[in-house]
Amino acid sequence: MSHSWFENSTQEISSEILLERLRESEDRYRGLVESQNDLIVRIDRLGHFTFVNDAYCRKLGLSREELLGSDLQPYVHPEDRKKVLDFVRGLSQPPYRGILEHRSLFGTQWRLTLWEGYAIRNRKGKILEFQGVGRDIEDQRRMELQLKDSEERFRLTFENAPIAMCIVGLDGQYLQVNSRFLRFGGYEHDEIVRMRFQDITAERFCESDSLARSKLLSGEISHYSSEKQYIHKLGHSVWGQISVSIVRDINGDPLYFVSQVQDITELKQTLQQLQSKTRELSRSNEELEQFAFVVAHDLREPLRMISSFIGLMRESLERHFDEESLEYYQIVIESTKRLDQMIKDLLAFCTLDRTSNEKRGLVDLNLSLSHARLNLKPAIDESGAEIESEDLPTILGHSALITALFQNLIDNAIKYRRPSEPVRIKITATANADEWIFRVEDNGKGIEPAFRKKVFHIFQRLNPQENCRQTGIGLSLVKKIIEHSGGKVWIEDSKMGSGCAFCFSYPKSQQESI
Amino acid sequence: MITRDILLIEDRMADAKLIQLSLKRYGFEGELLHVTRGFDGLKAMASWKDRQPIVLLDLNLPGLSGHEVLREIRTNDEMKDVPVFIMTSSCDPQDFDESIENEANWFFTKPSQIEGYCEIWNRIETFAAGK
Repeated sequence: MSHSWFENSTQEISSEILLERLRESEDRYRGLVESQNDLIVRIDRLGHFTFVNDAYCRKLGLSREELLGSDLQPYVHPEDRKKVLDFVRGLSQPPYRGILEHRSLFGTQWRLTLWEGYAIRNRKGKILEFQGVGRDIEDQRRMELQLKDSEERFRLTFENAPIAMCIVGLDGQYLQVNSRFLRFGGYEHDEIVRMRFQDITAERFCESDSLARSKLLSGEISHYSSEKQYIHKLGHSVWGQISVSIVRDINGDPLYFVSQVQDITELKQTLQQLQSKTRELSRSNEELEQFAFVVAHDLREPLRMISSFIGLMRESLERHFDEESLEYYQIVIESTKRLDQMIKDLLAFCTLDRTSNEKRGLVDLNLSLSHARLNLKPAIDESGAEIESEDLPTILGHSALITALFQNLIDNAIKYRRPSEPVRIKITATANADEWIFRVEDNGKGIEPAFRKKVFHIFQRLNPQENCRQTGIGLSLVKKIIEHSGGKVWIEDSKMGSGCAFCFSYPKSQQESI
Repeated sequence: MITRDILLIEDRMADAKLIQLSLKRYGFEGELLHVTRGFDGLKAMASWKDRQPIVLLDLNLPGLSGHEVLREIRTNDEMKDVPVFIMTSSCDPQDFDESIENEANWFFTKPSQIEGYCEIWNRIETFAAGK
């Protein structure tokens, strides 16, 4: 530097003063060079240091004396050496300056440095040496790479996400969408980025969607999700389960919305089909029940007439009745009784669903059992059945159905007793963690294991018909009542020597303990 | 012994026959008027109003149903005190509830053998005696 840049003077200056000023100027210049963090070096044409600033010395961990006159090469990464050599050579040509990145050895670490180099020439244009001003950009580059990597990862995640995703501007404009989203809405990328979400949202969802977004904007909520109907490019509806959140800048100002859209169109359609099928089924069930009721009622009507008038007929033909005709008469009467019982049982079976849909209440099983015994009084008296039960719990159910349940099980035990000894029936209950196990066991004929499932099928009987009360419906009604309540029924061996035990589970309910 | 006259509203001839026969066996001494339609029953009641009859009413009738006939009787000042007994083959609890709600005096399910009527006449006789 041969001039002062802050004193613009035209006065005559003596050479001594000039020399003094030059020294001052050089000191200032040195101060400037030494104080900064930029790395400043000069090398001669052979690549030896002619100048290094403090920052450079600090970086290398070496003193100026050690560096000056030494070769630059050891401090350049072997793979970058040719590049550096070519660069320095290039500086000899106009425009005599350039920029280069290479790895420098700072202490024991190779770190990426960015150098701005230029050739220092004398007035005649001869190159005296080369100067480089450099900066350690390792950290910066690493951050850039990390950022790029993270951006790439986001892009891949976004693009390959298994659900539709989009980034939406504050005004609703689509900024970025993934291919799933394009497939969901049927639009091309170029089309969708010219649209706002309002353009493809079904009208009735626009208002609620905008309201939710304004709550997001105000910070009242941090995200929201809802079901939403979109209009596909082809005009039909598609359904999405959307989940929207907002992205803000470092100051907390909102930047854009990020939405995830799960395509639930099929689910919606299936649900609608299911609902319509359920409606259909329930209507058809009601009709069937109504039908069964009417049929049962209308079938019993002529039956009543048959039994009434056959009785009258017998009276008027009394004189002509012999043993044979009396037997025929008995068969007709027994058959009508049996048919009547069957119709009544069928009716109970068919209307069970209606009864089970009514509200359940607390049922004291001891009471249900005594009702069942009362209903079966003639059969119990006739057979001399002994029924023994321990104290039974109170459960949640339908009183009439529970009574029918016990009645059918006891009736079954009486019907299939062994003629040689009086029938004994024992009813017990044990509590498990979440259910009751009931056992109704008898000393009757028993049921072969092979037939234990079959007896619950409607109209199944294992023995030839012996009396009119055997309709083949009782046990299937038992099964239906138990299964409607969420329980199971099965048959085990009786512990009373012969016979079998009808066991069933019945779910406990929290209300029972009240 | 039932001495009051009986108005039977029943569309089935066979049922009417059984009722008639069993009443006769029971020793019924009054007059029995049988009509097959609810409307005819109401007309008959109007003309019989001085005789204080007992009404035996079937539910499943052509035209006016038994429930409608009963409601009509109970809302008519001239007829509302007439004893009405429902005689039906229905075992639907809803029919029972509706009959009692409409103030039927009692509800009988038709028996499947003629002997079964005996108990019904017994009940009605007790009722008539109590009046």
